[in-house]
Amino acid sequence: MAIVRGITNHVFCTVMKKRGANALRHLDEVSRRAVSASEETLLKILKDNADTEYGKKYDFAGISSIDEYRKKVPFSNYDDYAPYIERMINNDEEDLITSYPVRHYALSSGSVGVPKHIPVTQATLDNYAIYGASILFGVMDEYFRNTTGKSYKDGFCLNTIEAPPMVTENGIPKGPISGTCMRVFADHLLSFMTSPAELVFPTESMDSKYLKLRFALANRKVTCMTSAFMTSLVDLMTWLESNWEEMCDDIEKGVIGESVMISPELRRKFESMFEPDPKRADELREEFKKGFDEIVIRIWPDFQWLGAIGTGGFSQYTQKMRKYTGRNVPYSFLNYAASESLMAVARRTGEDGFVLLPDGGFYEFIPADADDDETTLTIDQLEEGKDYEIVVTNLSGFYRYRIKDVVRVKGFYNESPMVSFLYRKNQMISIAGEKTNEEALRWTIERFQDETGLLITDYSVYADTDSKPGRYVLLMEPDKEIDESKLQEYRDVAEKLLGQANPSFGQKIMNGTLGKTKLCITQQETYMLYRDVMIMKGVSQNQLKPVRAIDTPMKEKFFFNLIETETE
Amino acid sequence: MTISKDRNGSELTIALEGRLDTTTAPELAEEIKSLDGVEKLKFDIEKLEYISSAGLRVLLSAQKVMNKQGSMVVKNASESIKEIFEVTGFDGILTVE
Repeated sequence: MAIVRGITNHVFCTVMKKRGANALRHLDEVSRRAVSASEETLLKILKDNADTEYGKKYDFAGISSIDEYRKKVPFSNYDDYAPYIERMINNDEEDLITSYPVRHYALSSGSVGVPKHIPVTQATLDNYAIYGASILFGVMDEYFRNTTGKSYKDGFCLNTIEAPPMVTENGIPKGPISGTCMRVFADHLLSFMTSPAELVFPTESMDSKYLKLRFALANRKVTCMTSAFMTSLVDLMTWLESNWEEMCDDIEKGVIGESVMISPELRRKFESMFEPDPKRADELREEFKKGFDEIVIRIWPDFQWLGAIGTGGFSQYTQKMRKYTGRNVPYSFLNYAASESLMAVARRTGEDGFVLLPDGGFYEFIPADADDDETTLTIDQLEEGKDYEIVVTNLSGFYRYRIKDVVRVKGFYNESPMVSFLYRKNQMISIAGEKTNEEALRWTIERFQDETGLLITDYSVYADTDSKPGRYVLLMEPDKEIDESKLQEYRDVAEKLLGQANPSFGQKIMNGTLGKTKLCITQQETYMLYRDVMIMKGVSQNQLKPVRAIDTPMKEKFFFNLIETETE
Repeated sequence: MTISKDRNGSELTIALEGRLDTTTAPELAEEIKSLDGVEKLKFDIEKLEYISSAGLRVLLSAQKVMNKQGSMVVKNASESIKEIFEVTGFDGILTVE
């Protein structure tokens, strides 16, 4: 059995490296002619969708240039498509916004209440297969060939991405898009992943942290980890820190712990996949007893790389994950994507600039500091270091869609801009016109850690408009208890730094337009609790993003009732 | 914090007294690791003075286990703790009597 799995693993790794190399070649080629490829992509989308209801409404057939497209087709948001999507789901109607067959509906995490159903066509899924999955293997293969002269070793992947099978009223799969691409591998998952299909496509609730680790820890040949977001990997390792003893006992006996939540059927099935392994249990115990710094490379000596979105708002978690893997393991931060589109990918390890995909959609850009937010630029007009709101025309029926993301152009890869996500426009906090965005907040926290020596696990900001004058409330969860006598000092440091990150904020503090900032320290594990509660309420862990703005009454009640200490 | 357990067949009552916080939550987590054969789990928190995020996470993990194998109720919560359950969304997850 082990020999067969070893062979299938080798075949899988070889195939993925080949696909990865093809994906890199394709990206390199298309990025060299990104400007023309971008226009070709738009014109193809318009031609293919000219006979849709939306296409006829805006005369796609009569558009032959980017300029005409900008003149004839207005900006859009989800509400513009919602009535069409309702008809697509409820009445099975076709050719409304897209002529391409819809294969999936991505449920967007960006909304509250009824989730948005974003149509995903085969063209988008193909794009995800190349740029959302295959390219990662190419990037890692290239990294190892460049640094060691040979490729990475075969082995297995600890993956936390889940895709619970769900369907719409008309029987089309729905759910987070991140796990959808793995469905084609459902029958062969164990050739590459440590978790069996029942864990990746769960149909019932179960203790998935335990189970994912149970399978992974039993396997000495884990060489990589993947996740949609870095938070899931950190949560997994944090859980392991508290539960390794029981886990080792179960590995020794070849069982799943009695208290582990799992149906009797699955327990039987999973337990049949384990043998008692006292040797492995002892190896693990010895390493866990030494502590959790660089634990990943000690318990899996062949461990080589990690792929998860870990830039921007996730950087705190990347920093924490480094504690577990050590600094030398290469990370890929995967991509810059949303339910609406996979917009850009990481071309190299460790880079937080993502190469825009010229054939993955058509993208326009509105300068973030422009007074006129109607005029858009194309990729050839972008400048390095400048910030832009991105406007998306995707392969699934959204046209000039204002996704509300602001990105920074970090440079260019051939003709293609390399972008990094800065902030979501509607998550900007502003009390008196100072407009503090997520990036300013992130910069503040990074410098705050340097100046105070504290490690901040997570953080948020709240606009307190009840106090006069209005003021910011910063919420932080340090990784350990803090000295309360230093609270005012910490507040002053954070406020000074935020004033540097956003001079308008600093000025408004100086002239009294804004009141003195309040600093609240949350109880330990508060942000993890928030994620636990959201998951219990049915939110997919693939979609749980850090809470940066306390911008709903629900979040307000939750976080402000779990404060450990605060300044006046 | 004091944790008292009273097992009666498939019913288990856990009474908590004191503060359930970052320091004490691991003790309770240890206690509820083995809920084998428990079909009714009752937390009597009449004498619980305080519960923090870490404590709430332990209750949540117990609820996850009991969702599979029976039922769980939290009884005699003080008004302040009931308020915590309400604001954290626990009242929609736990059965609070």
